[in-house]
Amino acid sequence: MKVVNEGAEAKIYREKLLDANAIAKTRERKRYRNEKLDLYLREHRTKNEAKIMLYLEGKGIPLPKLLLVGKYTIFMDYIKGIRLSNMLKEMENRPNQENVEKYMEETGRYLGIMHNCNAIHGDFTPANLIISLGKVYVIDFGLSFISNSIEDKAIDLLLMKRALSKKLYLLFIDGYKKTENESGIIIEKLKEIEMRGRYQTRTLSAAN
Amino acid sequence: MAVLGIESSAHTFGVGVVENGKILSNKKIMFPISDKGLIPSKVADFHAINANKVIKEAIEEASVDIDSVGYTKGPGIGSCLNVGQLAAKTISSKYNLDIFPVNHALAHIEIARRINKFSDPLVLYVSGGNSQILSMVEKPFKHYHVFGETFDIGVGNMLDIFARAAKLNPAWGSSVAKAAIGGAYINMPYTVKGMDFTFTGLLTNAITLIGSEPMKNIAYSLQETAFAMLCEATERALMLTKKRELIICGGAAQSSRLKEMLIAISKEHSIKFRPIPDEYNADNGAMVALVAEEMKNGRRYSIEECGINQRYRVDSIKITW
Repeated sequence: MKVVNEGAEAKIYREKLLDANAIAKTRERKRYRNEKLDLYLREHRTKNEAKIMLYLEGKGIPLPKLLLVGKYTIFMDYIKGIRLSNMLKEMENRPNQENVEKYMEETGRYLGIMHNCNAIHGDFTPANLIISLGKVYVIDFGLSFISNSIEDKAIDLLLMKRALSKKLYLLFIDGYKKTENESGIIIEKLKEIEMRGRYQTRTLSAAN
Repeated sequence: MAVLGIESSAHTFGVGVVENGKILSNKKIMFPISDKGLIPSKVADFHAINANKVIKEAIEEASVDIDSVGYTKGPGIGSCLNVGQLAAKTISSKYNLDIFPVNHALAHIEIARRINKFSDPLVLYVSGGNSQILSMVEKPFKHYHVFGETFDIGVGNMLDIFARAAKLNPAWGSSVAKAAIGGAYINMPYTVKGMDFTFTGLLTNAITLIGSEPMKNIAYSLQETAFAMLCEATERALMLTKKRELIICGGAAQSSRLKEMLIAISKEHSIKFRPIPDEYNADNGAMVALVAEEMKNGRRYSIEECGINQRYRVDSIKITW
């Protein structure tokens, strides 16, 4: 099996499942932490991730289709494409703004749909958005959860705001406003979070 | 010519002398921890009373010519920072030395980086008031970028508050570590959001369990959960930044369990990791002198523009080396 990606939490393998191109996301044992905590986190997060993916299916957000769920492993569709984070990095070398710009509004709309049904992504960054065949796919629901808290939603926005240029962020927000009914108070909350002393001067992410 | 460094951001008044990156002396005195924690005015009084003695000891032990003095500008407790600032300004004007305001977090990072001889590490900075994951980035200017940090209180502060609530003596992190020996794990709130984390939910949960669970189980689970959170965020940052070196610095870096967990992570990913001696992770003056010596290559500061800043962010500083 070929490891395609190794995150802090899980390893992703390319797989064939009934001839379909699939990936297996496996949460492996972390030897640094207590075994009971480790088992709990891996099992709970796998179950939670599968649950959220199922919940979001058919709501109008392109995401990998869930194929099979094990105790620590989720099999899902393989999405062939390029990560938005990589596109942004390339843009730095060859400024071709338009290319990325056209996906921003769409990305905003998808996050808006998620928030409207109280699904918080938890790690909504350009690294977790894949552009495939002209469409934006939202991936990695490993840190997602269900919540109607305005603050939780605002923090999803904050991650994107840190990762995008002002111009791109505004396009993103335009899309978000179209699908999230409470976008007004969420954006207000984001302003409040940013004003909290400790974070006022935190520099924008340079890595995403 | 050597540099004198004065640190007074919290409970420690420390003075060190450094020449060409070599630590010639490193003296300190610490406010005795009581069950009431740090009362800013009392700690400041303590520092003011002891300042003269510690400065003298450090200078005598180094016995070299000194041409500059660095002091901690922040972040830290205002009244404590003020004592160090005043001492530095007095020495600077009396002996006509150059003066340099130093960021406390930067001093912790730089001393660990230099002792390890690392060029571009990922940094886990953990102390009473701070818990951050940082690394050097070039844009928009060369600085230590904060990849993740606590959304509420520092991990050291969290352990201290628990130690006080549990009436452990002395009321600080190492007493929690001692109480944790032989404990069994009980599930506690675990909050990591990407590379950021929060500790207050965990703390409240642990405090409510006092009396109904054996102390060793609570202490063990609290420490284990908090450190696992820091480790997960650190590992995620390592994967994202692809750095090959890791340092841990700050007061809470003295924890042997936390170091043990990071060793496991560094082995798994073949990352260079060698924790430095505790003496340099606890607040000290030598780390301030090291950064001040580096600042000598830049511009000079007038006494008037030198002040303190309780919320002085490390990511606001342009790195010139």
